[in-house]
Amino acid sequence: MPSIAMRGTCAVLLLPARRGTVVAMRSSTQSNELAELLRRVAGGDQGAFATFYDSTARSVYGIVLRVLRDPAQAEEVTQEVYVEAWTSAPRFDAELGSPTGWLNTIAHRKAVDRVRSSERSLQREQRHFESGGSPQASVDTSDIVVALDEGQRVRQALEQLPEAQRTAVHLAYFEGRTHREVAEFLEVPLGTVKTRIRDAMKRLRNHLGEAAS
Amino acid sequence: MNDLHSLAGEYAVGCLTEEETTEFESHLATCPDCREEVAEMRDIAVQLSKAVAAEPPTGLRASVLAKISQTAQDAPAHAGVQPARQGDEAADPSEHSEAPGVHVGGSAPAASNVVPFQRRTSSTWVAGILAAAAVLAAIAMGGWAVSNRDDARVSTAQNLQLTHLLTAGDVRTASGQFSGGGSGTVVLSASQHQALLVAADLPELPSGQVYEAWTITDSTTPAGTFTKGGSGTIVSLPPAAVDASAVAVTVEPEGGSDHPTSKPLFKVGLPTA
Repeated sequence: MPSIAMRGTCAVLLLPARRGTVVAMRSSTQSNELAELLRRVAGGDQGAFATFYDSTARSVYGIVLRVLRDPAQAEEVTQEVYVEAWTSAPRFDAELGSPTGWLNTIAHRKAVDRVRSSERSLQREQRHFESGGSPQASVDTSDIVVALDEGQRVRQALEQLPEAQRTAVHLAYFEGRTHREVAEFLEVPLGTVKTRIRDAMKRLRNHLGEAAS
Repeated sequence: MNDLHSLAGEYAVGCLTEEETTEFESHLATCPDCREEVAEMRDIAVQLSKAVAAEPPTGLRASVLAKISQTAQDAPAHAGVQPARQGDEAADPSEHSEAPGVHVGGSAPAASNVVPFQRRTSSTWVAGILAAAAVLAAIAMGGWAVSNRDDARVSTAQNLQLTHLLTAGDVRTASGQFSGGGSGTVVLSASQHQALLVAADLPELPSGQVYEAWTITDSTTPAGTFTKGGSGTIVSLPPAAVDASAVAVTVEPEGGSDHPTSKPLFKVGLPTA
């Protein structure tokens, strides 16, 4: 899986960074390789798609599993994600972000769509509480599975967020809740949730950029 | 209700409702600042997903690849905010092997300077098993394109040959990844004096180039040239391959070479009988 990420040491010298931070430069390098792969995928190249899958499947499956908390459903949804990626690759628009950003959005959205259908949502709540999940506002991130150095870095960045921000991101992104649900859950105004998420994302961006340099 | 400009973060973490998402996306179409912010925020969301990365189930890759081989793709988008790359305007995009709809100009430069055939660093036995599974799935679905259009009977005969081989009592297999993409499995049986190379998802080669198989014993012997098939390619190897210690594939000029002129894209050691 990390093969793509590890390849681009030469390309980084050739390609202008999209943004100023180191993390942006590195993801830009990977983005360009994945963009090239996606271009071939868009032309119907199944071999390129296999490589694209190999480069991205762990984080796609990871987030889908995280949101759904059910391996069988996660497998099903991950397949849907890649079929959609295959189908819509010809319409990929780099101005809306990197290939991984695009794919990750598809993945998260499909997982969230699945989980928000009410019955399944109830089942998930059931599983969540049965598995020892706490309804309290303070959310522990220690159950996050970290398999990559990169994951470790992100986890550290998450841990360094103020608790209120970390909790908001956790509920919204990893739990797949709407901002309104997050607001109700935390008993804070909607505007506060918005601010916390935005501030958290900015802090994460800064922290991940600094940590990498 | 909401100031649309401030929704990029929530949009990127996916916590807007469906209606809000639709509303924000129509705003995105007219707001370059928000597009840039969304692109940045999405990259952070990718990082978050990496924090929970998990190994997908082993069968998933094969079933995804089997599924997409049966699935049609959308037409490229033309109404993008960025112009198509140079040279694309006049031509019918459906006739392009490249995708004009993938806009990679502007801030993310076109990646044409990335060499398409790069070495993969991961090649494990798991990948080999998956490769074999993908190949078998493709056969089961009858999705084999005839790799040699001049003689469809060759392909049918190879399918039969493969079936016989796989049921031989002393069948041996060895799988690996092609460094340019795709996977291959060598299937052989000493009792049947037969060996096949089954390859899936190989990239198309530029015209004037072919894949060439080699059997490696004390020396390296040409074992036939081939081109990419549809979803898979079956190559009959010379019977002597059953005694070889390894099978390799290189890219050679059309017509093949007597000795390899490039580094192998694929090489697997053959298990001893």
